[in-house]
Parts: sequence; C-alpha cells; structure tokens
Amino acid sequence: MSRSLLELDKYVQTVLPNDLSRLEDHTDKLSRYLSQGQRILFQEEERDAKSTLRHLKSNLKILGNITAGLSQRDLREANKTIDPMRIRIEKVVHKFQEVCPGPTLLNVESLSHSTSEQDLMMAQEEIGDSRWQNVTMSPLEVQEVITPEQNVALQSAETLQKDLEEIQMLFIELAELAANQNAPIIRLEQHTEQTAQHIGTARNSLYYASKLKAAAFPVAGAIIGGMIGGPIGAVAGLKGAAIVGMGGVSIGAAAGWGIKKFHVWTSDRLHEKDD
Amino acid sequence: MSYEGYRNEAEECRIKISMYEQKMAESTARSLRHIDEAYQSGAEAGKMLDEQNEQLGNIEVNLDNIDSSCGKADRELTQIQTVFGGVVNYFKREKSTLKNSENSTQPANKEIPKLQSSVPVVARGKPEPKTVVDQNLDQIDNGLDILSEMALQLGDQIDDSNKKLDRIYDKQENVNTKVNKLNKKINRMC
Repeated sequence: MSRSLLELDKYVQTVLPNDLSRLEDHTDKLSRYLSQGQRILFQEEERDAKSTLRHLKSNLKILGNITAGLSQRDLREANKTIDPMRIRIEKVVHKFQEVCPGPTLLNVESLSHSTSEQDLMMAQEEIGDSRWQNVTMSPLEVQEVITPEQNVALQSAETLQKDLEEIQMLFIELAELAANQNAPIIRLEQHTEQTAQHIGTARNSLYYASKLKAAAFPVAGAIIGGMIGGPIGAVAGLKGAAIVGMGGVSIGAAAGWGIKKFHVWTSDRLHEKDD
Repeated sequence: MSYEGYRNEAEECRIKISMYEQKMAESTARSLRHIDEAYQSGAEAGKMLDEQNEQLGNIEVNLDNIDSSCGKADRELTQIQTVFGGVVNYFKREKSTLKNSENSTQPANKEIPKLQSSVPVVARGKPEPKTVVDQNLDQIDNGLDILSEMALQLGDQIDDSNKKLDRIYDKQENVNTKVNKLNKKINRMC
C-alpha cells in the first residue's frame, strides 16, 4: 500500500469521523438552543460549529490533494472508502444546514478537487431572522429591558397626570364661580348702604317733625287753659273772667311748655343714642 | 444574525429605554405644571372669597344699622302720633330684634402656604432622567399636600360665607317687615 493511501486511510477512518461527530454534536446543540430560544448559547455554539466546519473543510482539502496525487488504480481503491464517507458528510452537513441555513460551505462532490480557503471563508452564513420570530430576544449588551413593572409605572404616571388635570379644572371652576358672584355681592353692599342712609335721613326728618310738633304744645296748652279758665272766671264777672282766663292761659302754656320740653328731651335722647 | 445585527438590536433597546425614561420625566413635568396652575387658580379664588367675606360683613353691619334706625324711627313716630308718646317711649326699652353680628368676625385667615418652586425639573444640564423623575415626584407630593390644605381653607371660607348669607337673609326679612310697618304708619298719619 502506498504512502498516500495510508494517509488517505488515516483521514477517512479517524480524522473526518471525528470532525463529523463534532459537527453532529454541534447540530444537536444548535437545534436544542433554537427551540429553547437561547440565542446567546446558539451564537456561541454556532461559532464553535463554524470552527469545526472550517476544520472539516481543511481536512477535505487535504484529502482532495492526496487523492489528486493518486494513480488511477489507487484512486479506484480509495473510492471504496471515500464514497461512504462522502455520503455521511453530505448527511451531516445537510442536517447542519437545516439548523443554520446558508450557502454551502462544502462541496463534497469535489473532494478530489482542491478548494481555496478563501472560497470556504467567503461562504458567510446568515441566520435568517425568521427562525427568531417566535423567540424572545435577549440582547447581549443591554443589561436591562423595559419590564412590565416599568410599563405599569408609565401608565400610573399618565393616570396621575390626567387626575391632576381634573383637579386643575376644579380649581379653575371654583375661581370662576367666585368671580361670578363678585358683582351681585357688590350690588348688595351698595344697596344696603344706600338703604341705611335713606333710613337714617328719614329718621332725622321724623326727629325734626317731632320737635316741630312739640313747639305746638305751649300754644295748645295756652288755648286750652284760656278756654277752661275764661268761662269759669266769667261766672265771677268780667274781671274774674279776665284774671282766671289769663291764669288759665298761663298755666296751660306752662303745662304745654313742660310737655314740649319732655317731648323734646325724649326725642333728643332717642336721637343721641344713635350718635 | 450577524454581529452587526445584534449591535443594531442592542442600540434599539437602548433607545427604547431612554425614550421610556424621557416619557416618565415629561409626564411628571406636565403633572407639576397642572399642580402649579391649580395652585394659582386656588389662590385667586381664595383672595376673591376673602374680599367677598368682608363685603358680606359690611352688608350685615348695614342691615343692623337699618334695623336699629327702623326701631328708632318707630318710636319717633309714636312720639309724633300721640301727646303721651314721649311718656310711652320713656318707659319703653329699646328692643333689638336682630342678633348682633356676633359671628361676623371673620376667622383668622390662615396664610395660604406657598408652593415651593414647582418649576418642573426636566433638564438641568441634562441630568440622568431617573433623578429628574424622582425630583418631580417629590415636588408633586409636596404640591398635592399644599393643594389639599388650600382646598380645606377654601372650604372653611365658603362655609363662613354661607353662614353669613343665611344671617343676612334673615335680617333683611326682618328689616323688610319693619320698613313696611313704618310706611303704613306714616301713610295712616298722612
């Protein structure tokens, strides 16, 4: 057996199976993380899977280089071991692509051909966003997210604002009501003031009327005295009539004057009580 | 998703969080403004109620004077009507049918507490939004205490005004009756 075949055998029996089993392991973990929505773990596992894939690719490249140097006879011999491995690689990679879709990184069919590293590295995997549609997001760099409690706090703040707006409207209405009753109260005050003045004036007029009335008392007294004394004196004679009459007039006038004084005194007393 | 995608997402979340905090700060600032305006309106209403209370007191005093004048005028008329009116008045004690405005003394107007500067603290040199929200909430708490105290004072003033108005109504009824009696008496004399 040639040296190349031995080397090929080593790769096919040992190296590639190791890579494939690791890739299978990665695929299992990725599908589990995807179903659980653990994006961070998925990302880390994906990185590891990519690394394994690159390793697999480089091993396949080496294998391709080995097979390129084989003779036709050895190549026929080698294909017997390479074909099953090829099928297995296709299965594992296909399963991996189901979890991480993207352009194929491997061209298993061209195992015999060498592929450049650049071609391999240029196959960028894009994780479709559609896989994460039903998964809750947990951003790596942000420590906190808007929690339901914060939403409740925001709603409470807005409710508080509305309530305070209502309170403000109540105070404004109160101020308007107070302003509206200003004019009637001012009118009321003016009216009562005027009424008090009028009543005061009327009372003064009555006071003076009372005094004027009192002035008539001496006159009335004199007349009454004369009318009573005159006839009585006339019985005694003319002289007696004159004397008694005069006396009656004087007494009447004096009585009237006394009544007037009393009258005026009471009026003054009433009037002074005001001052 | 690529690393760029994750970074954009993180940036989006950061923006959302800062927007939330900004909303909280703005909401509390608006609440503070409402409290400020409510306080201004309340102070204005309090001032007007004070003046009106004083005017009602004057009205009550005027009515008392009118009542007193009516009583005296009635006695003067009695004196004018009869010769012995003076004697009657001498022995007649002056009746005061109206209660003195014993309750017209206004309650000591408590000074309306001043609202501390309730300028909403939205941004002073752009502090952290959380600090602004906390400050605003503290001022809202203080403002609400003052508003409730003010509301109680206004309530007391309104109660006082209502009592005065009740007394004024009764007094004006009495005065009205007396003035009508005097008018009839004078008309009879004439």
